[in-house]
Amino acid sequence: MKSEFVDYLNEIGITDLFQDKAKGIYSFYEKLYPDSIQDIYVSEYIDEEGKRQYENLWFFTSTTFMEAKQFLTEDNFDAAPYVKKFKHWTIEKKNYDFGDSTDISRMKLRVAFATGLGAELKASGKNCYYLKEIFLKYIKPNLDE
Amino acid sequence: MDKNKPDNISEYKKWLKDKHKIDVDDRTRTYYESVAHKIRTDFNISLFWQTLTQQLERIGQEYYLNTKYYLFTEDRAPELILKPFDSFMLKSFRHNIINNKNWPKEPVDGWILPNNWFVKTNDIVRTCFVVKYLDGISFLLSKIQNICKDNGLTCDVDFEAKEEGYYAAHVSIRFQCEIPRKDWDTEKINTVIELQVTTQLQEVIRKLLHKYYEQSRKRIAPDELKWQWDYKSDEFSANYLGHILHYVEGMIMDVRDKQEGKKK
Repeated sequence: MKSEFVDYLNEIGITDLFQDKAKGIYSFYEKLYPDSIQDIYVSEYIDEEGKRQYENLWFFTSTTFMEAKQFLTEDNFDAAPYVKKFKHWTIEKKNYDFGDSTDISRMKLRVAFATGLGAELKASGKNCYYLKEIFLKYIKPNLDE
Repeated sequence: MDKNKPDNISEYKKWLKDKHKIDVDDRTRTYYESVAHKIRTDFNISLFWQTLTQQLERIGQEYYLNTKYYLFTEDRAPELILKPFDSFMLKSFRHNIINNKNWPKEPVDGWILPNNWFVKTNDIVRTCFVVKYLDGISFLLSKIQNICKDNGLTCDVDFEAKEEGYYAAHVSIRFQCEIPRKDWDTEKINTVIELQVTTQLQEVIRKLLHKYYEQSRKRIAPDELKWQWDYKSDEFSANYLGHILHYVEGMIMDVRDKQEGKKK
């Protein structure tokens, strides 16, 4: 796995066994899309007890995104082309001005495809910054206008 | 009732002086506290404790990957607690007097006196790990036992289930440390460190009932009516609440297992 991906995982608290799991999934997708994965994202949120709950692991190539659902406990993988495929997006955010994020920042991004399918990516704390970057790089430019 | 049998701490201190020529005064307290601090310092820097605290996150992750639930209520290691001198005295009072079925002779496993009380008292330094679910107790215990083994320490595990509704697992770790002596020299002793593992619900009830248990431990004369029949008493509510919570925790595990399709 690329060192910047490892840095990202460490930054959002995915270490040790959790990181091993993420690396295993990266290897799986890497075999299917060799040398083309350019970004990583983990959807997560803070639950009512203040615990960080990690949900889905995402990878992005220049044409395709891949999602491992409930990646820590499930083996449920999919992938889809995204170029000019998005029909709609919604962002909900709290304590986040789309600049640098802080510990109390929260963000939720929902996207819908022309096919009717959709996806939801959540972020807390520093991860809001990374979700913003994903939005600007992969979602916003690929609205099917 | 034996009129020579001490029935409170003051009488117990007098008994120690008359029977064993032991003065319990401020110097005793100061000495106890300096020894207790030394035991905690040694244990805190021990390879065992360093390893365990460093591995807690990994242990929690392993449990999560197996169960989809978090193991701990808190991410950080629990604090090592020193037994206060008054509790320490109370414990020796209970051992030597209240629970001594051989009174006025020595208890089956001998008196606890200054020459051995740092060795025979098993929780001068203790801590408590709080896990969210009942199965987390045995999961964590197995990890603690492995780390003990890796570090050449012996430990005993006791799943406590008291009539009074107290449920927790206790790991007693035999730990060698060097303590100060009263003559400013030092000596090596094998003391016991107690690691308790309990659940979040039991921890809540423990904190609520702490004062009640403290009072009941000081009591020497048994109540005339058994607490199980005295529905107006504090013991009735407190003790049965402990049992009910334990039952509820078992049911929570059952529901969790059923959701995961583990039931045959």
